[in-house]
Amino acid sequence: MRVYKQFLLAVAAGFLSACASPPDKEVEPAKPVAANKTENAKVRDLSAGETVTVTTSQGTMEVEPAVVAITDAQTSPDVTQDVYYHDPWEGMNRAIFSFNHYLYSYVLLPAADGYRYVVPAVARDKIGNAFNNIREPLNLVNNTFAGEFDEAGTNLGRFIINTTVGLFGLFDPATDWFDLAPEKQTVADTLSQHDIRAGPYLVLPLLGPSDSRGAFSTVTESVLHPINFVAEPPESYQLRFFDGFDDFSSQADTYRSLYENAEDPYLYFRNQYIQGKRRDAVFSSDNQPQNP
Amino acid sequence: MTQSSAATTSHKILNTLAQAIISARWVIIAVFTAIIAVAIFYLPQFKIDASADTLLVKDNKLYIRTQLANEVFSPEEFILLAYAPEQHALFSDKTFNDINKLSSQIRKLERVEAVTSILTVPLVDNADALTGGTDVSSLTWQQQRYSPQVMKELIAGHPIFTDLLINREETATAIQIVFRPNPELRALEKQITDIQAKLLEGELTEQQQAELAQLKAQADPIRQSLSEQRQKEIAEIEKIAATVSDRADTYLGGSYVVGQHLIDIIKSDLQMFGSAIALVIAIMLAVLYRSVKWVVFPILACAVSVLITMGLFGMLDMRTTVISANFIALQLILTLAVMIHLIGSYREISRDEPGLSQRERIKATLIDKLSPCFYATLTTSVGFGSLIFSGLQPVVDFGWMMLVSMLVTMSVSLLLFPALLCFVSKSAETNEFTGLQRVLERLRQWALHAPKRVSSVILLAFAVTAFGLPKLDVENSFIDYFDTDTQVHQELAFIDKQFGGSTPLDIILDIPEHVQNEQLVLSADMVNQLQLVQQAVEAFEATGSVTSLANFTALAKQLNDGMPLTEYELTSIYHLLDKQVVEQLVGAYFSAEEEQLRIAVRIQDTTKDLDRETFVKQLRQDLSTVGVDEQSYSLTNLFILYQDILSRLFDSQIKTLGIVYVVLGLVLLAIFRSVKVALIALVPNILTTLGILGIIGWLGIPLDIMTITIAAIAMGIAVDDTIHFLHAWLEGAEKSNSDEPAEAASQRAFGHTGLAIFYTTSIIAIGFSLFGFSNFLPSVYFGLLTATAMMMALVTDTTLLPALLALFVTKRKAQA
Repeated sequence: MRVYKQFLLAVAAGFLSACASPPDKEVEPAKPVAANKTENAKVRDLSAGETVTVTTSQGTMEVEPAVVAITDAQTSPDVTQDVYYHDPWEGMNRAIFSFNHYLYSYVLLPAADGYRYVVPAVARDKIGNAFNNIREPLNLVNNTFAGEFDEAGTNLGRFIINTTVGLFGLFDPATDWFDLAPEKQTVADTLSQHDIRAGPYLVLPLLGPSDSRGAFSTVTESVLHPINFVAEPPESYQLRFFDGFDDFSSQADTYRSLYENAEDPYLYFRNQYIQGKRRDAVFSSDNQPQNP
Repeated sequence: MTQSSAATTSHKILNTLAQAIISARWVIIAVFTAIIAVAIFYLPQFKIDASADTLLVKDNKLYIRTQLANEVFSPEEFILLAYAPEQHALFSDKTFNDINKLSSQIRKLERVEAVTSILTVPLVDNADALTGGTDVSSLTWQQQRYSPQVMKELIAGHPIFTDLLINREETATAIQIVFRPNPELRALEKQITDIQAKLLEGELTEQQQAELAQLKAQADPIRQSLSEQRQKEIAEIEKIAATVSDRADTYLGGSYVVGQHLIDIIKSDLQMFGSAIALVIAIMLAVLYRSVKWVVFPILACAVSVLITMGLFGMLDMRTTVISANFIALQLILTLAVMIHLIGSYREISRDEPGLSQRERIKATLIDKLSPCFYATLTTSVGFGSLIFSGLQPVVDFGWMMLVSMLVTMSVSLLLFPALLCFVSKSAETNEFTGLQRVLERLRQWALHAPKRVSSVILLAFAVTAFGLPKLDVENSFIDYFDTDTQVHQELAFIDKQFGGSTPLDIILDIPEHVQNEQLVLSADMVNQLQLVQQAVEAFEATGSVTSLANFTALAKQLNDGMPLTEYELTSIYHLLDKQVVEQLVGAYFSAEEEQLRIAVRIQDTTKDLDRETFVKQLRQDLSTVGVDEQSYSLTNLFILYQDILSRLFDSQIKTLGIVYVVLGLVLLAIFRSVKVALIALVPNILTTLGILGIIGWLGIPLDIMTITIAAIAMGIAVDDTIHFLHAWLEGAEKSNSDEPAEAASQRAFGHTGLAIFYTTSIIAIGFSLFGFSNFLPSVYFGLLTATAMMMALVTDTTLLPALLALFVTKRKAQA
C-alpha cells in the first residue's frame, strides 16, 4: 500500500503545476477524432448543450438538447476545431491506461469478482454507505469553501443522522426518512467553482481517468480525508484502498463491458470522461445560471 | 329508305332471337339450373375481405417502403384497452387490482404475447438504476407493490408512457395488448417484400412474378384465419372488459380494431339492409302491379343474379372489399330495372292484344325490349368498366366485379326470365295507375311544347349544383365512418383523443455518413437531429403519441437530475443493458445495422378540421426547416398510404369520368348511328354524374375511397334510363307516318317505357333510402346518394332528354 501512496503522490505532484497553466501552449493540437460534424447549426448548438429556438409551420418553440457532446473545443477559445479533447500527454496516458488495464484484468477484476461472490450485495451496500458517511465532513468542508452553505448544512445533518440513527453510517435514514439527499463535493468541484480549469486529461495509475485538477483533488483528499482522523497509516491507506476497491467492485462489469465494446478503449474512456465533466460544468445545479 | 331496310333487318334478327329464346326454353332452364348448382357449390368460397388493408394499393413504392420499414423495425401489433374509473381515483388499489385482474385474464388468450400496463412496466426514478447492477425489470408495481401515491409520482408525465399507458389528464389508464406475430406469415411476408423491393429499381422478371403469386397464395389462408382470430379476440377482450363495467368505463381501440369494426358493420349492414330493401322492393312491386307473379319474378331474377354472381366470385376468388360490397345492392337495382322494363312491355302488349297466346306475348315483348335492355346493360357495363382505369386497385376490382355482375344480370333477365315466363299461363293484366300516367302525360306535354324553357330550367338547376364541384374535398378518417352515437365511435374516439391517436405514420430517418462515429452507437448530433424532428412533429395538433429514441433520452435526462446524457454515456447505457432489453426497448425505433431511426407517430383522426393534405405538406416543410433534407427521410405507414390514395382520387375521378364519357359516346354512336343522337344522349348522363358530385360538394361530404364510386354508379343508372327512353322515342318516331313525329315518339317513350323508368326509380329510391338508417356513414351516403342519382336521372331523362330530342332530332324529320 505504501507503493500505491507514493506513486500516487509522485504522479500528482508532477502535474500539480499543469493545473493553473493555460491548456495548450506546449500542446500539439490533438489529432482530430470524430471530426465529422453536422452542418446543421441548430444541431451543433444542441450538441454543445445550448437550447435553440426553432420556427416551424406550427409556431416558434424552444428545443432543449437531448444528448450533448461538449468537448474542450467549446471551452478553449483558441481551438478552431469543433471537436477537441485536451490530451497533450496522450502517449503517457495511453501507457498508464494499458498498465491499468493489466492491473484490472489480472488483479482487481478477479478480486472484485471474488469480493462480490463472498460479500453479499446487501453487505456491500452497507459498506458503501459507511464509507460515504465517513466522507461527509470532507464534503462539508468543500461545500463551505465553495460557498454552498445549504449543501454544507445538508452534509452536517446527514453526518449526524447517519452516524447516530444510521448506526455509524451503515444505513442512510437521512435520505430515506429526512429527505436529505447526498451532496457530495470534492476538492475538484470546489476548485471548479472557483474557475480553476480542469487542465489536461490525465490517466491516474490504478484510479483511471482524471485531469490535473482531479489529480490535485485526489492527492489533497488523501491528506484531508476524515479516515486519517479515525485511523493511522497504514490502516488509513488500507481503508482508503478498500473504499476505492468497494467502489470499483460495483463497476467491474461496467468496465469490462465498455472495454470490450469500444473500438479504441483509451479514446472511449477518455472522451466519456471529458464529455461528462464538461457536461457537468454546464448543467450541474451549481452552475444553473449559465444555462437558465 | 336505307334506314327502314336496316330496321327491317334488325327486326328480323330480333324476331329470330326471340323465337330462339322461346324454343330453347328447356335448354336455357337446364343450363341455368346447372349454373345455379355450381354457384351454390362455390358460394361458401365467396369472401368479404373488408380489412382496411384491402383499401391499399399494394404494388406502389410507398407500400413497399412501408413493408421494408416494418421489416427493419418490426413494430409490435397491439391494441389498447383503456380503463377509466367512474367513482374511485385512478391511482388507487382498486384500479390496480382491476388492471391486474384484467391483464391476467387477457394474458390467457392464445395469441397474446404480452400485456403491458402501468403495473408491469419498470418505473425508474434515478439514473443509477440504468448503469448499476440493479435489475431494471424488477422495478415494477408487480414486484414492488408501490403505493398509489408513489405510482402517481413515478408515472405522471412519464416521457414514454404518457399517451400510451396513461392519458395526459390522468383520468384513464390503458392496457397495451401485444400480439404474437405468426412466424410463418412473417417469413412469407419477408419473402414477398424482398421480391417487391426489386420493384423499387425496376420491373420484375416473369419468374419473380410467378414466385410472388405463389407466396401470396401461401400467405393468404394464414391472413384469412388471422383476421378471423382477431375478431374472436376482440369479442373475448370485450367480454373480459365487461367484468369491471360496474365501476369503470372501458374502451377498446387501436389501428386494427377499426378495421375489424368495419368488417362487422359492413356484414351486418349487408344482412340487415339487404333484407329490408328486398322487403320494401317486394311491397312496392305488389302495390304497383297488384299481382303475385310480378312480385315473384323480379325478386327471383334478382336473387338468381346475385347468387350466380356471388358463386362466380367465389370460384374466381374475387374478394369483396369495403367498396365492392356495394355490388349486391347495385346488381339488385340494375336487374330490377331490366325486369321492370320487360314486365311493363309485356303488360302493355297483354292489355292491347288480349288474344295473343302467352308465347306470342313473350315474343312480342322480347322483340320490343331485347335490344334496349341489351344496350342498357352494355352501356352500364361500360360505365362501371371505366373504373378499371381509375388506377386505384380497390376501385379497379370493383369495376371488374360490376362488369361480371352486368353480364350475369343480362343473361338472367333476357334468357332465364322469358324462358320461365313461358310456363306461366296467360292472365289479364291489371291497369297502370292513371294518376301516374297523368303526371307523365303532363311532363310529356311540357317537354314537347316548351322544350326551350324546360331545357333552360333543368340546365339552370344543374348549373347551381355544379357550383358545389369546387367544394369537393378529399379526406379520410375511419373513425368518422361510424355514426357519432354508436358505441364503436365513442370507444374509438376515446382512444384516439386520450391515448395518442389512431392512424400510424412513421418517419424513417437515415443516419447520414457525416454524423456517424465509429466509437459511438449514436452521436449527439444524430440524437439532437432526431430531437428537432420530434419536437417539430409534436407541435402539430393532429399528432397524438410521438415515440422515438428521443423519448428515452428525455427519460434519461429526467432521471439524471435534468442533465442530458453525453453521447458516450448514451453508448455506454446501450452496451450495458442486456441485449434483449435493448432490443425490446429501442429495437422498434433504432436499427444499428440499417443505420436508421424511426419516429412512430399516431395521427388523431378526431382532430377538428384536420386537413390531411396540408398536414403532410407542412410536415415536409418543417422537416426541411429543422435541417433534414428530402433524401434522408421517408414517410411511411398507413396514414401516408391512405393519403397517397386520396391524393390520386381527384385525378383518377377526372380521368375515369373523361374516359367514360368518351367510351359511352362511342357506344351510343354505335347503337343509334347518329352523332347528334349520341351527343344528346350523353347530356343527361353528364348532368347526372356532375350533379351528384356537385351535391357531394355542397353537402361537404368528404370524397374518399368509399364515395368516389358514386359518380360511376350514377352514370350506370342514368344511362339505363336514357337508353330505354331514347330507344322508345326513336322507334315511335320511325313508326309514325304523321307530320308530327315528335308527338308519336313522345307518346311511345312516355308510355310503358316512361312508366317503367318511373317505377324503377321510385322502388329503388325508396328502398335505398333505408340506408339512411345505417350507423355506417359510407352506407348512408351510398344509399341516399344513389337514390338522389336515380331521381336526377329520372328528371333529366323525362324532361331535358325529350325536350332536346324534340328540338334537334325529331323536329327536323318533320320539316323534311
